[in-house]
Amino acid sequence: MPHIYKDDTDLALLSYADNEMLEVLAKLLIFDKDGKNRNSESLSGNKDFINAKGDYVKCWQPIAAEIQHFGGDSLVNFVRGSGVQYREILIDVCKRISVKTDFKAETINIEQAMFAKIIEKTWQEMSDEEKSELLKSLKIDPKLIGPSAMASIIAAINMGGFASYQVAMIIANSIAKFMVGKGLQFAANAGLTRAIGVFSGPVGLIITGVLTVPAITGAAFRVTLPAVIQVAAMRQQLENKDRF
Amino acid sequence: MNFEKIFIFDELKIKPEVLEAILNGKVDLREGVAYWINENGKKVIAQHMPLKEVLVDSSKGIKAVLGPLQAAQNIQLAATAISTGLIVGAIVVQTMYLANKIDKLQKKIDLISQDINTQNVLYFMGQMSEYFGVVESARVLLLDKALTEESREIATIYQAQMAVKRNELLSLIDNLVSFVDSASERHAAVMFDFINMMLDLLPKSIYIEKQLYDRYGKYKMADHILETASLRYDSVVNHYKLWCNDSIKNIVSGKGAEHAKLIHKNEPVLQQLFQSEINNALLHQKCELLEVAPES
Repeated sequence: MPHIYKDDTDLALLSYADNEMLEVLAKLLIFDKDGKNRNSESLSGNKDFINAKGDYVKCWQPIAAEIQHFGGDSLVNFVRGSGVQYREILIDVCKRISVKTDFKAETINIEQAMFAKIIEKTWQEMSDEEKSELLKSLKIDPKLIGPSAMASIIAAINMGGFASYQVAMIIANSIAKFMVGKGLQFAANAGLTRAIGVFSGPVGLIITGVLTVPAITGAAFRVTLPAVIQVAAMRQQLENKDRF
Repeated sequence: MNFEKIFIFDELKIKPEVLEAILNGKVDLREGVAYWINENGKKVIAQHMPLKEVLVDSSKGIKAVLGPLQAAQNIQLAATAISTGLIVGAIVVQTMYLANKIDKLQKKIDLISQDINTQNVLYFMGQMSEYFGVVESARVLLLDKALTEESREIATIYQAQMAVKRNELLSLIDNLVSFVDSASERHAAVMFDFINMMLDLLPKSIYIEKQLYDRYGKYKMADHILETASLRYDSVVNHYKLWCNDSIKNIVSGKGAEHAKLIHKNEPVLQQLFQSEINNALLHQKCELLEVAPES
């Protein structure tokens, strides 16, 4: 039985998403890190998904439905006939990676807090050069060190705008490289391209770490974490450009 | 299908030096006559533009008609906005294209009037019918140059009416855009369609208005009308574009938008409207030519 998409204001953005970003999202949902089909995925067999023939914008609803189903308990999904809302999945992911934020805030703010947490975790793994590079790309004084540098980065991400867009792209790109095997091909400025190159390693390491901690991991989480990151990055990307 | 004869410039018979001057924006084209500035700084006739008769299917969209006509043109000229403006101008004035569009719009107006039975909306819908009535009458005057002398008085009335009603209409569209959010789904769909049709039609009617001044030798007024009406039109279109972009941003940020599906469904129409080469050629081409060819 195909998964049914349940109207979700936080996933409606997928109808405007870029095809490449949707392709990455679909692959994250279908394949595991080794390129094998996930046991519980149903997207690859969805009629609309197959008929779209790579035009992912045409099948954004089955993709969204798959996210909703991964976020819900299989039995409960079966009974109610649909999965859970994206926001619930996001909050679950955030709690598992210890994001401390106001979970009553707008979805985009919770996503920004999630990016800030991932960067915070990555920061500890970065060399001094990488830290300085990150500060430069976020237009933060590269001379800042220690907690004050981190505090400035978190503040910049939480303010939204270009800094949170950059961080989202850096993280989403790392996830795409790590899980799908290739980075995103979107048009980025030179600074962002350089930052993506520098950080894909450290971010990838952190994500690998998070996904393999037995206490917080689980089959669904291994899908929902990258999927939520990808959706959140798509939101940042679309927030930063005019459609017309 | 509805084949009609129109006259367009026969580019093969345009003098090479005039063609070059046209391509370089050194010519002022008025009523089938090319003017340029001579060595004494005087504006003089460069050439009476040679015409050729072609058949076009006015039941098709302008783009479908324009393509084959431009393909048969001198390559140099075909690639320019000047060529687009001239051919589209000829289609708009000489065929039933605009009348057909106005008919469709009138049906939309009737639908809105039935649906939204408030005094102010009914008033504006009435104004709109009147405006396009005048536009079509003006177009009919432009069909025959032999009527120029006899129609001078009536043309003056049309010119005044068109300017007033055009401004009213542009204000209405601006207001309607803001009104869409608070309308019911059904009303919003009708209004949305209506706004798109109006914004696509207005550059053509502004072109007719401008031609009506040209026909009676009021060149400065023609330029003034085109310039000011274009500015106002661009501002309304930009406001509409902003509204569309903001609605999409609301969807993206999860705030939802009242009529998100409408924008999504109409995206190709909106892209075409916001990037319309045809409308741009009609509204902006002449101004560019005139900048280099002042009145002597």
